[in-house]
Amino acid sequence: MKRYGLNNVVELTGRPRPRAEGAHAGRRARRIVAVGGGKGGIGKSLVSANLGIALARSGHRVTLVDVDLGGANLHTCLGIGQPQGTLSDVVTRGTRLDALAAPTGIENLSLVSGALDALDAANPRAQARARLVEQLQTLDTDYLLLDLGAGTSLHTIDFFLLADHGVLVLLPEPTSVENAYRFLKAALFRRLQQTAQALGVAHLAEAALGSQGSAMRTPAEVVKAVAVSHPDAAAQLERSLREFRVKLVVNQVRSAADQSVGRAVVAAWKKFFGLDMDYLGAIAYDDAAWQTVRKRRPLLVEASGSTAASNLVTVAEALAALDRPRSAGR
Amino acid sequence: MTATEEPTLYDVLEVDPASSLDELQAAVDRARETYGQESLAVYALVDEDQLQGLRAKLDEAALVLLDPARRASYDRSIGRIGPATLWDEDEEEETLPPLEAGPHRASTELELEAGPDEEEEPEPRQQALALEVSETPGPFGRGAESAGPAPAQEPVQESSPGPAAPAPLLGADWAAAVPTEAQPAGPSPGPEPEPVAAPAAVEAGAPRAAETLPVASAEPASSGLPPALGLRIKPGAPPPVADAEPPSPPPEPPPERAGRSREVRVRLDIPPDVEFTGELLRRVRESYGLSLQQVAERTRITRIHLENVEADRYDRLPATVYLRGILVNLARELRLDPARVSKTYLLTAQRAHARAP
Repeated sequence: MKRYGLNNVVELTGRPRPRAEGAHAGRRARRIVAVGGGKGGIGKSLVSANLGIALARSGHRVTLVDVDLGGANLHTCLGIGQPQGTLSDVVTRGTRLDALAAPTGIENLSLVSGALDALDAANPRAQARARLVEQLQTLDTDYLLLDLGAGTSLHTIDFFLLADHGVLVLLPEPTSVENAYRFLKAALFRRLQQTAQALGVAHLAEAALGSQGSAMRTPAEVVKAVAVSHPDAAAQLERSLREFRVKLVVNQVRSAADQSVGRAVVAAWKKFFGLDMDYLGAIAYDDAAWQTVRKRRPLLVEASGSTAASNLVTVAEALAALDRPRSAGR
Repeated sequence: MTATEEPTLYDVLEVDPASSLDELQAAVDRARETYGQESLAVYALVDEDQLQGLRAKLDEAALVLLDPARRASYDRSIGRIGPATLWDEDEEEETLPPLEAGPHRASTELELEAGPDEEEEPEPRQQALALEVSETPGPFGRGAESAGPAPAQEPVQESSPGPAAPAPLLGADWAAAVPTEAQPAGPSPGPEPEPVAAPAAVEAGAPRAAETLPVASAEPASSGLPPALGLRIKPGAPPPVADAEPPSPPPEPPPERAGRSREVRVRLDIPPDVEFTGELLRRVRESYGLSLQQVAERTRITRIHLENVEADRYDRLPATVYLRGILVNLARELRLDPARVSKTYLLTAQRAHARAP
């Protein structure tokens, strides 16, 4: 994972870097978690903010970063008003990221707000983006939580791929599921391209991908095609793709049928794309959730006894548990 | 991810080849829920062809693996020893009821269907399996006394839907499994021994087979309903009742399975356009002389649910997606058209819900 995180830097800057493993070891954020989902209005910010609170409460140092550069409003979810400095300062003025991290009133939890004003900040130039990515990767914190914007723009996807844990939020609704899959496939495709490029087999991967109209080839098919002439590269490609292991959260669950959607998505993704996905849990549809949003107070603070709040705590525990058994080794 | 060889039907269902019938049934149910027409989880995931391909595979897996006889044949065809069966296979094949018979009616066809090299001796076995074989008295591991995974399965098989029941999985190919030749049986009260199944089967299959085959895409648009699991909505054309004349019933006797008396005590004539209610389902069940408990055991639907279905206690029934599964299973058990049963029953339930919020 780390290695390909660095490959992202290569991709973002266009400036080749040595693929030194652990170049930033020790200084790198211990875990980067990106919360995305393709569609807008599905509770990404709510999930990010409250996951941040839950992780902070369990003793981790957490930095929330609103990388929804065009539509940042994480500060509103946390009820801390208009931020002084934002990510746009990193992008446009070269301000250090850690100087921007503002307290949230919750112990252990700080926030870097997204861009608000700068018109061009939503589409930073490659170099500015690379600077941002590098600072994100080296921020001194236990959990770096990236709240992604909607859509499948490249920089959104790159943030998702950058993370150790890409959390996919979806609602049990066709529109959300559709966008979530589009997002996932775009991310997987990009990862495949990037890795293939780094391995020098991009042309083979492209050929394998391009040989079938609109339907995406499965990762296995691409790996197989590459393996014909480059077995080593294929093995690495396969490893990289296997690491594309999305963490799923189903939000606004109302019925027993909704409850089963998460497990079904995991199964279907595995069936057709051959890749594992971890199901972190479901969050109940809960009036408390929108009521607290309207009050501009975080759910876990304002309605910590609600069902949705306890679901979020469970999801945060599941997320933290992912790193417990193997954190020592990686 | 790198698997290259043709997946087995067990792979398709993602189960261990040594799974008990119970486990297989559970896997089929799970797959039905995950990959069915109504499943959100496959919405916009892959293109329709891929999905249909998978559904067809799953249908095949359900058809073959839930039928111990076919499963045994299939296991041999892939070089595997199947679990023991408790009954005489021949008997079993003869009593295949008409609904599922279709293309697989004759026992010879059944064998053909089950695998290309079923006639071979079980030489091409995998090594791991050879271990099991060595403990197994019979060459095919089919004796009831077979070692290995058999003991756990014995009771299950006896009370399972067995060979008669494995209707296709996801509705995609449902119509194909229904007899398409002959027997355009209407509600004719003819003297044929065929009790219940024929009218329903015909309603779903024969006369409209051509229209209904591409289940997934076509018809649901004509009604306000979403494309449901195996849901076939009747097109504008008149129901097949009209043109139906005394059916030439299939040669098989009424459903009757090994170790279980399923003689028909009452003959029921069910018109094809009937709306299934709990009451009607109860009468059909009773016409087979089946108790609630027996149906519960065979279908693995809890008895409470069955009682509530039969009593039309809609408010106590589970969410639609589960209820549909229950109805489909129950309909299969009763040799009724699962699509028809679930559609009409759910409609009635929805109307009831609308009336009493």
